[in-house]
Amino acid sequence: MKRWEALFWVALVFVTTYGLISLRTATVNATYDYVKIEKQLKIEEQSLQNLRVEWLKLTSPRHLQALARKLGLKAPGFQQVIRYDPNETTLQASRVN
Amino acid sequence: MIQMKPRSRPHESTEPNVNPGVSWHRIRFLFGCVLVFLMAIGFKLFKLQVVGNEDLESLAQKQFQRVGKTAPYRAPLLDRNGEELAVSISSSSIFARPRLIRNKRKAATALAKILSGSPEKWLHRLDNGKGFVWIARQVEPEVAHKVSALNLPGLFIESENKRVYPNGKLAANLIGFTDIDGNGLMGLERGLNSTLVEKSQRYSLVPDGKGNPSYIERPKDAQATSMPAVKLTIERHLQHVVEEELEQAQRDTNAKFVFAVVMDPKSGEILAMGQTPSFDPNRANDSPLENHPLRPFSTGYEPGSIMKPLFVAEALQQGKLDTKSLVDCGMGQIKIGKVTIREAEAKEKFGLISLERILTVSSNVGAVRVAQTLGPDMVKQALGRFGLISKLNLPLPGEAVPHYAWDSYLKNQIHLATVGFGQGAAFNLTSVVASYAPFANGGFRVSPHLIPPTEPLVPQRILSARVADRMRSFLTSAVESKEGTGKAAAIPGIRVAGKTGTAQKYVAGSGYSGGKYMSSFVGFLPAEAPELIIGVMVDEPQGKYYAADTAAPVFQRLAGRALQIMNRIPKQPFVPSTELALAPASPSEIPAPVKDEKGRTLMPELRGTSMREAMERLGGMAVPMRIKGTGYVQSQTPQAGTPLGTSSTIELAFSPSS
Repeated sequence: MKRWEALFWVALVFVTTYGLISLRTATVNATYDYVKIEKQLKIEEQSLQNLRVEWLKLTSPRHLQALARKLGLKAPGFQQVIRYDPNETTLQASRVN
Repeated sequence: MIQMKPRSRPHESTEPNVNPGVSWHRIRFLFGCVLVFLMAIGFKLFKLQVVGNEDLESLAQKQFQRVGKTAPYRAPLLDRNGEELAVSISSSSIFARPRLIRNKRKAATALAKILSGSPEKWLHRLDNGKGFVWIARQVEPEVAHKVSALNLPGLFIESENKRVYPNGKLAANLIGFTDIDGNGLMGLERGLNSTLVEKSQRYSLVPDGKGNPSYIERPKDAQATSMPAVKLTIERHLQHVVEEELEQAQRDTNAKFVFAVVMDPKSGEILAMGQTPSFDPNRANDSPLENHPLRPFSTGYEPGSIMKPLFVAEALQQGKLDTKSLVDCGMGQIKIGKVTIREAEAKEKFGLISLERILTVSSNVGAVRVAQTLGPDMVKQALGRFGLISKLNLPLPGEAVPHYAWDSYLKNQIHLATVGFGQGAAFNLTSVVASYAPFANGGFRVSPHLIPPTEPLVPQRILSARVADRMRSFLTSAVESKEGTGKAAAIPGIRVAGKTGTAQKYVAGSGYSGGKYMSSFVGFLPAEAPELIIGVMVDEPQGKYYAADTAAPVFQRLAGRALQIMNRIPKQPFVPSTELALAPASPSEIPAPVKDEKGRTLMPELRGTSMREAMERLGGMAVPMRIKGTGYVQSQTPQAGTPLGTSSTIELAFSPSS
């Protein structure tokens, strides 16, 4: 009986040790995955920021105007703009000249 | 028969005979020694682990933990509509610790393939004996990824924040730029450095055997930190239009520099501030240094005739002259001591002319007479009241402020005379533009600003509404009249008020330079209810140099587009008439009562107002009043900004001139 008891304790120690080591290994592996994902996330964030900057460059007034010029477009003069005032019943040219 | 000695069990034995050669006493002694030794170790362990372990704990942490730093973060700068003018993006920088690199030639060859340059260049850099070498700063993510994939010991990649100006040259001089380490060097980047920068934060990590980090304290995501973006009063599209017109003006006039300021005359908000030539802040080092300063703010110039309206207004305000006064212009010249001051053109010979005509034809002699009538004290007072001799409260470095000993300077009759027509004292364009705001907003001094104030500004009246109205009318004549110098600034369909100024350029060391001029125009529009005030300066125009031919046309082109962009084109069509209606201040021009956070009405600034206007401004307040004298408010009790209660009594003292 005492021999079985000793064997049980040895087995318990072995299983516990194995469990702990497995848990530790899994944790370390999860950390590696986490770091990997984090790096990827950072790269994606950087790409997103670069795209945002690219968008801002493309929508900058100077760039838009250069494009408009290429297309032969010209901003209307203020005399050509008709403003709508919801309080008035008729449309009115902002400048009559 | 052999007699066997019975086997005895150890525990039954009182004196085990393990080794007949070793005595039991020796074993005991040895056991005792081991026990003492173990106890000593235990005691030492107890001492190390339990008693006084703080120093050792920190020592252990130092051995196992590494401390990292997040990259310093700069908050973005936005325009008034929230559009980004300057942003920070994360980027990667590559550095080397050459002593850790085993094969430097191999590393140099690999770097040369990814980055530009020859292997010899990189080898030279890695072999210079230094412990730390930057390889490349703020590179594209792909480049950093390629270098990382080399897996070369001794090469490292660090995350940094990179400042980017997505609009390129737009408002470059105003925004400024930073160095590669993120320190503001010019413009708002420098002036707002402490507001924009969140310093790098420390965090600790425990690396594992492979050097992979396992964080103890997670570093905060720098982009998501608390540093808020700074919103400016600038309008991005208007700024672009300003710069485009300035570039056109430079092509037309071949000027050295052209710069402009657009401001809201009621609030003092600076809507645009531009100059040409400028530079791209993303590549600031590629442009000449002289293109970097913000010239509307940091260049002091002699405004010339633009100063004349300020002294005319002061003379009217102080009651020294009135609108019907006639000034002797000496048929084109006036002698002060040994110096003769003449009109700009020899053919201009004026006799007795009105204040309005002095401004319309821009008479130098008339302006000298006005300055002489005021005297040195009042001229200095006028400069102070219009905000020209104090610093602007803008978060920008390098403001040009005149440092004169004004009292002694103006006592010299020649200086007094020249200051009267805008020579002999230099101011920056932003101050000069702000000094015209009282003509446009009914008499209130405004404080130009680039960041919306957190608390409402209490307007300070410096001109009565009547004087402000008169000045508005005079300046409209200077543009609309046939002999007005500002005719070129007139916009069909919109009334413009303004004044030209052409001054000889003062060059340090050689005095006034023949053939070098500073030509400017400051005006506001629509003259009936001004929405924008604009100043344009042309520095050293070639060929035609009068402001009427250089700065005024720029104003004309710019002002129409500015009104359109800011959606401030007047609703009512302009009906041409010879005189601007000079009605008393309309309710819209009378500032609404200011209230404090408890809802109590604050006493308004009434000094300088007429009795009628003072009553209008106090009309809605059920507070008893005591009035002394007639004319304009000389003093008031309580002071402006004091909360008015039911038990308050307002006392106003009037006198014929404020």
